[in-house]
Amino acid sequence: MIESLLPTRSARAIVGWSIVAAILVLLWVLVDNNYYLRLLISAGIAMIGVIPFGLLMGHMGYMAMGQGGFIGVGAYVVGCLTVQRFEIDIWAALPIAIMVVGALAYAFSFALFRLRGYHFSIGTLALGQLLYLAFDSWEWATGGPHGTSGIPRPAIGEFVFATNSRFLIIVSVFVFLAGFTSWWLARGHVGRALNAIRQDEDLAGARGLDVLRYKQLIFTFAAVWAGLAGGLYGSMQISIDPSSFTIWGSFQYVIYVIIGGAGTLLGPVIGVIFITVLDQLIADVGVWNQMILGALIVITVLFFRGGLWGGIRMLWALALKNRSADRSAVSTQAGAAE
Amino acid sequence: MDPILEIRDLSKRFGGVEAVKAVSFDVPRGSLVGLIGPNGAGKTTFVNLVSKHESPDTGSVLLDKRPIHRLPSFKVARAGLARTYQKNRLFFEESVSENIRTAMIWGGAAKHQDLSYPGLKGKEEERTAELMEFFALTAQRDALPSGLSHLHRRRAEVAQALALAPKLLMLDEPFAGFSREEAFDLIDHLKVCQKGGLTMLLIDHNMEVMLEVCEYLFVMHHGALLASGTSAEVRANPEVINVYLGAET
Amino acid sequence: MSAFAQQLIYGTSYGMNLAVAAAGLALLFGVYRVINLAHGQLIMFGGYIAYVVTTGLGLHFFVGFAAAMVAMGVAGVILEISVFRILQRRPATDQLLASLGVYMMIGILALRIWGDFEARPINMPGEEGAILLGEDIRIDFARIVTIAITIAVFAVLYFVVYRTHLGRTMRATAQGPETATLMGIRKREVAALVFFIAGALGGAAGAMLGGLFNVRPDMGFQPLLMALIIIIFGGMGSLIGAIIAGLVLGILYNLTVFYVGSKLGDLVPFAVLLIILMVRPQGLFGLPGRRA
Ligand SMILES: Nc1ncnc2c1ncn2[C@@H]1O[C@H](COP(=O)(O)OP(=O)(O)OP(=O)(O)O)[C@@H](O)[C@H]1O
Ligand SMILES: [Mg+2]
Repeated sequence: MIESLLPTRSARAIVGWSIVAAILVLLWVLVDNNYYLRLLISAGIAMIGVIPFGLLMGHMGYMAMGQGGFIGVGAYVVGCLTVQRFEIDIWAALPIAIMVVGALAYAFSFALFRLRGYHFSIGTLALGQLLYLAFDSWEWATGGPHGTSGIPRPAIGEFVFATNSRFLIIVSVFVFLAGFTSWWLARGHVGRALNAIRQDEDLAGARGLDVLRYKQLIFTFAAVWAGLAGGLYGSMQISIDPSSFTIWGSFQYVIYVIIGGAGTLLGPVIGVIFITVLDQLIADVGVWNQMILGALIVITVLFFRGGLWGGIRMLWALALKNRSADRSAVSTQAGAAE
Repeated sequence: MDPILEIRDLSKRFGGVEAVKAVSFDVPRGSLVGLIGPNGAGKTTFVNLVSKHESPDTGSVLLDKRPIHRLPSFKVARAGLARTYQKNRLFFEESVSENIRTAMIWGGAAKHQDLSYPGLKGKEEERTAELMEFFALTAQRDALPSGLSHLHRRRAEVAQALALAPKLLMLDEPFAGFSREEAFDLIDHLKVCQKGGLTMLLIDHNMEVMLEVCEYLFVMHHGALLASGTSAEVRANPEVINVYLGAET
Repeated sequence: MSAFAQQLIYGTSYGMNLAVAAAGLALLFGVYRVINLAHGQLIMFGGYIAYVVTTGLGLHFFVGFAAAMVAMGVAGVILEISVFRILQRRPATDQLLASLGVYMMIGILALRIWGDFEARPINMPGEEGAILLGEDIRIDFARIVTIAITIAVFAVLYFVVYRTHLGRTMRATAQGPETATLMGIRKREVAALVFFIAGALGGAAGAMLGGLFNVRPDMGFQPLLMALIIIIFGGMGSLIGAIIAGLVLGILYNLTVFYVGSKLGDLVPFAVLLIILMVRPQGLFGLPGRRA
């Protein structure tokens, strides 16, 4: 059915990710409450950073623990260019921010990918913390502990995306782009390379794969999207300070991926949705929500390595199997009746 | 003699252990040579150095006169040097045919005109099919490595290495866990490839098989090259008897 | 000059405390290739237990210190049984993630029990006293006590690892599980003991850091980061490396904070780590080629 309507896989991917983006926008029609709107925007921004990050952590198996630093660089470059030191239009600042983050990540990738496993995770953690401390101390560019305020919202001509409902449209467009580009990379050659690197990167090298190049590609790709998410975050918040870009921001990404389901594209999306909803539901229990989240992480890692999306797919497969079993039972009965 | 592989002064040290000590030798083109030595002699480390899984501390490696010791491992593989592993390695989430095809995609089209063993001609699908047929793996084409018997897994690994269309294949203890019949079955396949121009360096602990099969043998001990020669020469070498053959009997 | 000497002494005592914190991580990594992020919270919890026993119950510091060690040792065993035993043979990321979850849980537990960020002091012996060297170099007794404790802790640790049967089995396990099974080791008991020792080291570090500074709910975070840096710097799994790297970092940290400013001081450990990772990823005492 779906196959006949949308014959090519890319058409299906475009439609699929459009639906994810459209749901975000449509939810805005349902909620005219500003609080929930901001929640939707935050979730969307998290998705922009975390879907590409899922390729790095889930598909390739390299758990970077410093994405918070790249988010921060994106946010501060935009802040510095639009208000702190210059007065460039945010539409120009965003691409510059992306390029800065990309260049930074690419430069560090040479050193970081001499590391694997724990060493890589701790190396990226150190990089994230280093960047955080830089935000805190480089007053000229970042405003130091007080941060940067007055970051503008983007505009097209006279149309300023000033209200939260308008801003959500921009965020949704980028969610679509992040999802689609990640999908586009994950299929075919790159996807094959990423999966092989996760399974056995030495073997992949011995069979002719330029492992380092693919690792650098994906690391930079994930960092660029994290930078864009940071730029949008700055624009949403209007003012930013270092406390938003600590190691906990990096851990947050890791948590979205593991809870949602590592190694899939939709897993991180589901992780963001789930944790956003969970945060609302258990907000009344105060600090205990961190406890619940911590327990969820432990349980997921111990017993449900596929995460939520893995669980959903398993149930789906079970249901299909049951249905086809029913059907074949029916058809054998019919055959016996004849 | 026309050497395809020239090893010069290759060394590697791990902390206090000199795993490979100034090893030099040549492998003649088209030959099937053996590398033997007791446990911990440094055979696997030697293969790792040549295939660039590890970087040598000193020394050089020439493949067809071309230095490969400074290349990253994937370029060594693409230059025509493939290897298998002592502890069997395949992509465990991929089927047998996918494993073979993957290496084919990364290795690129077969470039060496003078080779003619199975799996070199045609498109990827044909090459994969030919390799699987040659190793009698066609029935297992969609099986995951974990679902294969030890014998089939070994064959799949060799097939994956051959999918790179190498000039030189290094096999690290391919017969471990094999019966004599199974070992000779694999050897028969390898001999077919040798007729097609493939050069092979074979490592194994099964002395009986090695002495019978290899045209020329190198003996390592404590990281250094202890002796080399035909099987008759090696068999008669007092030092070899002392460190290795003597220990077995 | 005297200011320099003063900072050297502060740096030494801080570095030694960090070395104790790192030793627990290094031990677990050395024997089981496990990185336990929750170690940071064991440090914090150990600090609180020492606080309750000394300031709360009015007992001697050493009683609080011992209580922190035992309690965190038990916590380590509980972690082994409930989490790490199940995660054997899983990729490194799984252990990091699970221990991160535990980190969050323990953190909240402490926050619930002892409330917000109120700094709580631990009564240390000889709190007021100090030795004056020359004109203006001052070494307070508290620092001397922690330095002495650290030396004692490392002496005991050295004895356990290199002179006892347990130590031999631990080192055999570190060589590879196969060797250990060959030696007929009862793995579970050894694992429990190793996790006990590692947890106890965390508790000890917490009691001392709490004594020198204050006990706070977030006090485990900085030592955890420092300990991670130290075990990479020293070579993952190397106890000697942990001591030397701890001292170097502690001294470097104190000197930069004093001469350049606290912000740059905070930067130093991470810059050191990145440089080490680039130049010598295996650390000072790690074996080359043996990549994790
Ligand atoms: N990555 C490493 N780190 C430290 N030491 C190593 C490493 N790899 C090998 N060694 C040491 O180098 C020496 C040679 O080991 P190697 O595996 O090359 O021997 P081998 O001849 O293949 O033995 P076997 O017949 O058992 O396979 C051994 O002492 C081993 O412990
Ligand atoms: Mg070997």
